[in-house]
Amino acid sequence: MSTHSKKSALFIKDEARTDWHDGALWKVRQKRDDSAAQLSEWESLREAASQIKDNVLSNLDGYLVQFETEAKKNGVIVHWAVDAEAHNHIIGEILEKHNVRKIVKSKSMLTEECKLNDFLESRNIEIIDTDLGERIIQMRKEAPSHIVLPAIHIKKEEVGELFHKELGTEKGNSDPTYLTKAARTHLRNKFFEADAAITGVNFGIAETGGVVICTNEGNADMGCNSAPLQIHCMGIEKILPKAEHLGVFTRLLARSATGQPSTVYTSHYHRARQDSEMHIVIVDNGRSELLGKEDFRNSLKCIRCGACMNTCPIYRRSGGHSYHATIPGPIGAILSPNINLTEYSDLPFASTLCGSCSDVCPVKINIHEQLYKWRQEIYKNNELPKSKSIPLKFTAKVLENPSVYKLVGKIARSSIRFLPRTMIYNRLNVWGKQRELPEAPKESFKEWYKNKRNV
Amino acid sequence: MCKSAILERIRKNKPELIPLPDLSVFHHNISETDLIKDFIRVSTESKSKVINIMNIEIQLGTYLKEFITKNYPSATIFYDALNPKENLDGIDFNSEPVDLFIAESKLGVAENGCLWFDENILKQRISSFACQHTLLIIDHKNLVPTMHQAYQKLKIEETGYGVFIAGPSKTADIEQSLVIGAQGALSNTIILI
Repeated sequence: MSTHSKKSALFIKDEARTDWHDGALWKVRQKRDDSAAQLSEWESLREAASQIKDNVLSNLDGYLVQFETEAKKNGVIVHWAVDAEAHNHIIGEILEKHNVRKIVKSKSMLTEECKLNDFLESRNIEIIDTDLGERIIQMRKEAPSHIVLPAIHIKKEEVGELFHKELGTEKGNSDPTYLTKAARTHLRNKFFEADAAITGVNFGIAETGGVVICTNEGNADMGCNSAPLQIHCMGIEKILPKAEHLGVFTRLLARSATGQPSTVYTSHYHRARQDSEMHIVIVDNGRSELLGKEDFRNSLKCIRCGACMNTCPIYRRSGGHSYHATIPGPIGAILSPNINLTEYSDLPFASTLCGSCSDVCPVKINIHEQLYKWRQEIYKNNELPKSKSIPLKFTAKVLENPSVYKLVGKIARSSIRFLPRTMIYNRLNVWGKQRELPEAPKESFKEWYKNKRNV
Repeated sequence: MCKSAILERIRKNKPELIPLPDLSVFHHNISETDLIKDFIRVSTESKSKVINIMNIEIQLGTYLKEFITKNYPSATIFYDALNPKENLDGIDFNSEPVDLFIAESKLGVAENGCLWFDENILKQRISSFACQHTLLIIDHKNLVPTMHQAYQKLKIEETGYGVFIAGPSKTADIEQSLVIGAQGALSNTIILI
């Protein structure tokens, strides 16, 4: 069984919890729908966003150079990291230079991708995730299970227990308001103690050399605006040409993510505060290579809203951790194989190819088509598991030859009808697991058609 | 070394130049009445309290004084960005809990309730986040329909930092239950003048 299947099987063992997870995410999807429906120009906005990203990708080198030039004019220190290791090394050097011991970090999928926390902790630097959901999973020593709702898989009672142990809250109290207030007090101290703040970046503006960060909690701003050193980690694909393009993307992002008309805070950083420093680390880590793959380059348009996860029937019922990758869900399933085809060859199969992900994507990434294309790549690279490759070979042979096809059809129909259950519903037939096979018709369509015509 | 390697690979791999789309299609002609109606509705939905004093003939300062006494009775420390004489740089958020942040935005967005604040208004960047409560003032004449018009009017790089604020800080990270007052302000009140 593939890793995704195994992990999903564990997840769905608890049926009530699976339904709860499914329902919670579907509610977010519905909020997105309501929000999108309020804008008559929603589809034009998606189209515009997709075209802007097309333009960005087709002139990415130019925009990145322009971004760096403008940022430098603003006194910002710009770094380039070819991969995760270089990224961590650069940050390590900046921190060393400033003698940093304590860091507050706001949500950044890029630093997750680069495993920055592990790197810094191994150097005895305290790094505190300040988004509430991220803080919860950090205390649990877990990875986020969703890119916008990192702790969506955790129940409030579990948070209550965790906070009782870690923050000394009342035993048995799992009221979300009470727990959030406790985290607020805990994090306020961390913000003011911190020697440095690290954030991800939602958008980098080539024209002005600034970065834009969107949050609801205000944690990125609490960090950056109190620590004497701020570091922003940005993937190369986050660039937008001009400030006016923010109009399109800020309108789409929060509506797609949570159904809000805007995140509570949309912050624009261009220069450091007096007596402090601002750094931007531009990270490639496989993105420029992905740019060269015509079938897959559109995945670089992603703005990390999570809408494809909330709508995905597989994601909702298997949980983010089943994807065993930094970014889960449909978008993760097309981004991860580019990072490591062997390790993530199961993910493009974690989909029904229903296309709902592509329908809700605010930048119109053809996610389900790319999932299908990755399956072909995986086949070509001999990365298919035997449970898939053998039946496929067999099926190809059957479909190649009409008389074999006719014969196999006949056998299959009568097998389902006449064989004892144990012969059909067993380990070898994954299609008979937790579901009944359809009732087999007495005749094939061809036979039925022939008989009809003869009447 | 990293830089040239990245740029080189991008040059090699990027597709042919694709032009930018025309954004003038997102032009909105909305009456002033509807702008105000939208702004109040969306801001309220985003958990801000909106007080409309557009039609009341009273001096803002006088109104605010009364309003604050009545609504924030226990507030003692203020960050008053309306008052140019205040020494705002001297306030240390680390050592004392500041109760109330007061400032006027010069640009508001009707579709999502965003109000723009840059360093010229804020002085200290952390002020609106570190204060317990925020009291924001916006003149109805400074409302625009959508983010497109907002970014046309703005020069985002004019100061080192600028932020759109659309409500009190919030989170739904514990079982999707909405909690007002996460890391930033615990409540947000908007006075529409």
